[in-house]
Amino acid sequence: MGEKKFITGDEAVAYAVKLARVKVVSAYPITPQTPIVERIAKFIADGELEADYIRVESEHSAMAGCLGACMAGVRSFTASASHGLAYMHEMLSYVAGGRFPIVLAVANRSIGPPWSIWGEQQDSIQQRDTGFIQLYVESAQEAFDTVLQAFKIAENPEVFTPVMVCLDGFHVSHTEELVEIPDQAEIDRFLPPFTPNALLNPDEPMSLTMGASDRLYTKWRYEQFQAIQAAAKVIEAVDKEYGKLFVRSYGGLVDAYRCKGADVIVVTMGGLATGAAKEAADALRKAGIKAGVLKVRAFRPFPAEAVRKHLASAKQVIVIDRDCSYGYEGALCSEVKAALCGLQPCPQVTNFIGGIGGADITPVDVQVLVKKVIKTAPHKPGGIVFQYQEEK
Amino acid sequence: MSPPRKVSKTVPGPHWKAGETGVNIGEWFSQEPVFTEKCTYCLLCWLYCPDGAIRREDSKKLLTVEPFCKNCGICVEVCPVKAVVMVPKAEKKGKS
Repeated sequence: MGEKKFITGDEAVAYAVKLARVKVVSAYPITPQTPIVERIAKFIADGELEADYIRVESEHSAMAGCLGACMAGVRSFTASASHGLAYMHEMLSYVAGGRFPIVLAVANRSIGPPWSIWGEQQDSIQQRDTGFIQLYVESAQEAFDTVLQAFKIAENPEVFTPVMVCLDGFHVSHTEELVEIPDQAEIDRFLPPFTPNALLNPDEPMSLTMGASDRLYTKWRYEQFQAIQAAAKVIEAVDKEYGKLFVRSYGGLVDAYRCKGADVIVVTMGGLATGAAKEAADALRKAGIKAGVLKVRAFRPFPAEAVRKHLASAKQVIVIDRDCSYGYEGALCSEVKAALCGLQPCPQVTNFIGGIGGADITPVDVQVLVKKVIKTAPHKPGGIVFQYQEEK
Repeated sequence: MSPPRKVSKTVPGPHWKAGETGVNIGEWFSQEPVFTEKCTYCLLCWLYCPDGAIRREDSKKLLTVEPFCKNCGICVEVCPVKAVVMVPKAEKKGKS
């Protein structure tokens, strides 16, 4: 009945890839993702995983390699981060538009300059509109479980859309945790062999990723739009099924923590912000402030309905963004506001932009923020708090 | 060669069976190559056609044009016996 290992988030992803019986891994190293592909390379070299490892010259080719493998009819995987992910950008749109169910792990890292190897979510947020499903995880265990779920979601005939599994650089990718790893036989029951949607087969020649006139183009784009919308239900169903088999599930699209009856709800994504906010909520509840945390697990498809449902009765909402859409506000904040649009009364939304370039967000930081927001309410809508203090 | 793999029934995305066109692109073009009686069936035009628009019929005497001909005229240029001529579609229609 499986085993428990003390491993990092990156290693947990590698174990999940091994158990998913991936056949082609095409990858280029970049911090903080490198340990994922290093560990996979070791699995292959030691004969623990029967797969081809393609050593490519760039991230663009890494995703192109996965695309080719998928066209040829096998399950494929790659991982990237930061500038590597930015370099992969064109191929992300390509595999999403071509409806190739590839799974990509991203160890979230800042985009320079200013040059930094440390964590934030700007890199994957910048890839929001490529057509990938984006799932953000909180821990090494969730990273492991979500990579396995990701293959099942991506390969669902109604979905056929690639999935990006995002884990915080360093805070999750390089932090060791106890991770429960089921047996291969148990995983095989959950994740059947890959049935390709389209493939290179000399006996049945096909034109793949064709050019299209405006009408046909719009038709295929509409189908893509519908598929990623349909993915919302599939993400929930797969998470539930996983929970039944392995006892762990994560609420599907969102994870609501002490949101019932909460006056202040902190909306987060990923490990650092969620962990800090949950601890802060516990402390605040003890101090008589009704606080809760809503972790957005699926950023695309965005769970607008669930977000609305959980936040509707709160007075204050604080959205923590480890990213920024320069010229406006944090990307998650925009989505949350749009989801709340039309509610009467509507919660006041404050955006906190922080935890960027590796900056820490502590439970105390969140407590201070919550208290500050309560004190200054009602403040002007669209208030943004940047985690920065000028040196005196 | 390994046996062909099973393909799932639904094929979402911009993928089609080879040789099929979503729209009749041929309608956009005004001319069409016609293979006259001088044709020796050497198949040079069939080899050179960049769009694979020339089809060999089973009779081994006849060449016909697929709807995706783009009027490039390469078939006319490569024909060693000048058997291929580009004919305006309207004219061809009028003659028949």
